[in-house]
Amino acid sequence: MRADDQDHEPGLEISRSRLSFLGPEFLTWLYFHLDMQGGSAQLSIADTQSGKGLTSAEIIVGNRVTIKHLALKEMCVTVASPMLDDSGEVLQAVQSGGLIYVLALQAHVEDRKYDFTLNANDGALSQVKIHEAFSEEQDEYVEGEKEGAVKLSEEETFFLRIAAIEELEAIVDGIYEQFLQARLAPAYAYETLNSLRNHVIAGLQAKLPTVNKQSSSPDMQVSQGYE
Amino acid sequence: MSAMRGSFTFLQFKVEGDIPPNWLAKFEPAICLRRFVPLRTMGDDNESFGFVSPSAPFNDEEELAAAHFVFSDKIFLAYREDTLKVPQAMLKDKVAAKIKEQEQKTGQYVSSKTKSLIHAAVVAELRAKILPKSNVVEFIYDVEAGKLRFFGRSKTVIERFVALFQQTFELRLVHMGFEERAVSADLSSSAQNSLKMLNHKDIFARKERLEIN
Repeated sequence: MRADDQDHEPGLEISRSRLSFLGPEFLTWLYFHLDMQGGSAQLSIADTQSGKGLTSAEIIVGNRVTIKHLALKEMCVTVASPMLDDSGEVLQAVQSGGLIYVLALQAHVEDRKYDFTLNANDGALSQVKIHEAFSEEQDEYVEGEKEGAVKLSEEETFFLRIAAIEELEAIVDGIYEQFLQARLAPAYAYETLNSLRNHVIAGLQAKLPTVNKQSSSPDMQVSQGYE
Repeated sequence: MSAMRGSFTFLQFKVEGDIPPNWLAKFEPAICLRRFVPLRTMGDDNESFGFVSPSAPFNDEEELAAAHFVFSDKIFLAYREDTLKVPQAMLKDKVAAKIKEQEQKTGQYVSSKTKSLIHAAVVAELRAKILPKSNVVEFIYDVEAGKLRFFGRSKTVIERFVALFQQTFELRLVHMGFEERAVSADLSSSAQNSLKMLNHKDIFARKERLEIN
């Protein structure tokens, strides 16, 4: 083989468009991953503030979720509630075959708090709100020093803001890495999906008493639906 | 929506290509060359786009210099596009009125050449009165990390921005959606093989539905 020859194995290239389901699968997995742990989870991320070591982040389910069907995008359910986990609508929509396309979240790292929304279609972080001393709420003044306060320069604001954005990206990257590891594991199709299914069924049976309880145990096969 | 104030939305891109060691010396003149130029009232262009300072995106007099947009190894700029659209119904009415006025003055039908001149004059008159529609989107290009954050989601704006960026910096932008992140992730060879053959898995197949009475 010549030095400038490139070794192209057939089928080596991965089609990005074929993987477009990864975004909605990720957000659906994330919602239930948090829900099954009481609505929040801890995550170790690279400490982008100090640039060394790891720090712990807490991720919490937010107050809004949008569910669509992979094939029928016109079918759309948006649930906005401060107690999303108490709502049976999310479970019903997922049980009907829906996946989560928009998920509001909160993240806490030390004394820093972020509100943000993840979007499955384009991976965008939207409605990002950074709650910290240099945020707009303090009007660019250092917290707790309103009188005779020192206004941050444009450069200082930029570096503080970019550090916060990098930290938020590290959080999202960390969770996505966890999802990928779970998704690509052979156990996903059986263990993970079964666990999700059982959680949804148990949640529906608890919230909707009129659900046909042909089996008392959520682990039993469900009854035939209409098709 | 500003990246430096309040809430914001952004997309992530990976920047591919070779960065020269003296990148500022190469990038600064290229950026200044593609600085936003406002639309001219008497011109024919209906749109203009280019780079502006994020701190004063509508100050057309301000010069773009590295001191304004380089922060350590990051470039913080805004992309601005202006479009000027003359309302067609208004244009048609005004042209018709001018033609009628001319015909009444001369007592003769107006030639097609004169009609064209009247049309052009009315367009110029309306362009002088109408403000262009402006869209400004900030972006932060982390040169050393090879990342770009674009603080907007409009597909058409992104398309034009990507073209301008690639032309200016001679680098390629790759949108980092969840698919691309999976493909670019540092995975083991077995995980990579799984990714190549990955298909969507329904949590509930359509047959598996609980009956709700």
